[in-house]
Amino acid sequence: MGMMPMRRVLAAGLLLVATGCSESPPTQFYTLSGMPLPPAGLSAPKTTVGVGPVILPDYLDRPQIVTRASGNRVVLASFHSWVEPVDSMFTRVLVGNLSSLLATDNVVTVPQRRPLTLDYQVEVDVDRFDADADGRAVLDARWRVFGRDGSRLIGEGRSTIVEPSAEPGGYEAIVAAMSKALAQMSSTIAGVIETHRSG
Amino acid sequence: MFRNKQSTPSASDDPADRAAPVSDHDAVPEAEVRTSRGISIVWLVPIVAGAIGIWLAYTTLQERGPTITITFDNAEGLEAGKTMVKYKDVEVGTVASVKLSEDLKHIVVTAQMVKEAESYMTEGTRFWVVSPRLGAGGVSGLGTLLSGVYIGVDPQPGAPTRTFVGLAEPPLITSDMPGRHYMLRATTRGSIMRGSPVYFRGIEVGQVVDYALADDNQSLDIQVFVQAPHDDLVQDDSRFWNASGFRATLSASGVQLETESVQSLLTGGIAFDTPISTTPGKPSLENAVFTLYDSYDAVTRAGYTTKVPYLVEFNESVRGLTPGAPVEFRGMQVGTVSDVGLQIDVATESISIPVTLEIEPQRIRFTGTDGPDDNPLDDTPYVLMEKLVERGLRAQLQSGNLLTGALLVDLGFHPNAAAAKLTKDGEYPEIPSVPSEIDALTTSVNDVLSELKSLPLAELVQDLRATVQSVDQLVSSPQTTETIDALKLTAAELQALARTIDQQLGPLMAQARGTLASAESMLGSDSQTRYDLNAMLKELAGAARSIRVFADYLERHPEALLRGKPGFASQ
Repeated sequence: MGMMPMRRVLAAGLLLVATGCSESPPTQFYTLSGMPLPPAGLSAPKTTVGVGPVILPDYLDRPQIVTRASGNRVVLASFHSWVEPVDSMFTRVLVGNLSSLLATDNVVTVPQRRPLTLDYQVEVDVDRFDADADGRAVLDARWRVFGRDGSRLIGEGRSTIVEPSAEPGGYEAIVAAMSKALAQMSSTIAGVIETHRSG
Repeated sequence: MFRNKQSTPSASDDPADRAAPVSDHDAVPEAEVRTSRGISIVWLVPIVAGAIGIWLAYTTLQERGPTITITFDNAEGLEAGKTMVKYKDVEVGTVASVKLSEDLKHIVVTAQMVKEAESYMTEGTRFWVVSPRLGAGGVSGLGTLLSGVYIGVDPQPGAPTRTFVGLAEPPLITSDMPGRHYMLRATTRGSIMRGSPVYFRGIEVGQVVDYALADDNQSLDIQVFVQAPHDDLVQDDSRFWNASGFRATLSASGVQLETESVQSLLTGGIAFDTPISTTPGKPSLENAVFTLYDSYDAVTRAGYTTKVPYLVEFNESVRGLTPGAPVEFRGMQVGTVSDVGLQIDVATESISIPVTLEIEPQRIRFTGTDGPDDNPLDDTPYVLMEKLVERGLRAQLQSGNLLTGALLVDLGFHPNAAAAKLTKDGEYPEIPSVPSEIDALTTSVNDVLSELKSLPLAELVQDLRATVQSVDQLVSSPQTTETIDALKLTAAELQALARTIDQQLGPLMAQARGTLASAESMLGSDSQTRYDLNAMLKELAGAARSIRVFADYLERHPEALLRGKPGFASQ
């Protein structure tokens, strides 16, 4: 041959790299699901509700779905990710849920693009939103409801919801459980607004 | 060889002949000499020739017209044998020779005329050289530029003659023009030329033939020719006037320029007119004499024959008043000033300026008379004037023309004037006068000035001076000066400040407005910028998040760069 020693090294290195290259398995994407529309449809009286800002803990600020292996250990899934950032997803689904629950189509995210006079305003601070080791979805959030364009506090509360998943360990079930937990909190909040609205 | 000659023996001395042998005829016939009787027939030829010749000569002589001699001062263009004599473009003769006269001052032209010209080779006939000429009537004789000059003839009846004197210029009137000549007497020629037209109502009816000083050297005699049938229009009471140039009148309605014709503008002209009268007159005779007036106005003026003279004395300057100035009453001319003179009475040592007026009653129409036949002029003409003067009629000098400063005499009623009467002491009755308006103005100005003089000006001035002095003390005191200086500085500074503000404010406001407007457009809730900004921030946040997540993962699984993500789930 008579090749240079440098070239030999390079050839061997490339061979190694070639053996190392292998295809990664595909990532699966999940999204939270919202509540169904009421059978009667959205109707009057029109109530304008503003939702936001929704504060989520920073550990959720990643595409990977977060679960707890034990009380303190957190596991990040490699191949299971949220399809959109968790905070905007959470807010969107909450808005949709409230709209369905209150049977009004005037639920908007605050800050608004075009100002509508808000009848109610909802603020949410989420402390925990993940699945525990048993595969149960846990949602721990504090919320406040303001009336009369944000000047008067109507109601507040802290929702701690644990929702068991249909099939422990499967991410599909975990996401479904998390969606149900969110739905529950939405109902609670909607109840407060409904009480004030009709009362 | 003649028979006769052959028969007789030759007597020649030619030896050749003798040597030659004689032919053998023995008998030589005898010739019979027969003499012819009378004249031979041959003579017929020269006789006939001679007869023909004589007859030809006779005929030529018969047909030959008269030979005449014409004396010219100038023979320009005349050529012997070529130049023709023409009458109405018909050749009536030819120039035979052109010679100098004995005294070398004239040219003697001998011309051979045709037979028919015999009848008018008379004393009155005129000859002249026809060449291109520019005269009062225009250009004539241009055809001779091409054809060469010729001699023109104007036949006139008279006694036959053979010597003539040629005219220096073509005559204006030739015999074939019917019409009459008239003589006009004028004081000055006034741009009339030979050939100037004579107009009647604007139509050219004749020409000026000639002009010459009269015998007394005081006037001019102008001979005019008026063609038929217009010569019948000239009657004994016709008036001729000089219509040269143009007549300009300046009146309230503007300037009017009148001229008889363009030709009269250039070459002068005479116009005439016959006044309409109840009985049509007879046409004037040949060579009747008329007066040539200087202008149409002179004719009109001359029409007023009756003049009643008056005298006026003015106590002011009559500069600008000339004889011929009008005498007006309320703007209507009633007469003319005939004389302005300076009179010094040596005995009384008084100086006066008498102005003689001539009132022309023919300008006035009189009504209210006792009957159509009653002519107010027949009465003592001064009766009416007396009454008018008692009513307040006075003479006053007024400005006739502001440009030239000419004056006129205005007769008008002045009710405020002092009472006066028509004085009849002097040569003519005297109309009292009042001072002219300029004079009145001067008088009133003088009155005002004398009033001013009588004012107590000295005390007034004293008081004023005292006031002025105290004011001056106040003004020039140091406190006042200081105050004023301080005020001045303040004022100057304020002014500068105001100016600066003013200068800056405008653009500042404009800028601020502009900035606000652009800020509004940029940061308003609807602005594109805001939206783009939002989108960009979102993208940046997303990108930062992705990088963070990736770095995080890489930190946990660095081998993922080479080997990818681990095949089993979790961990």
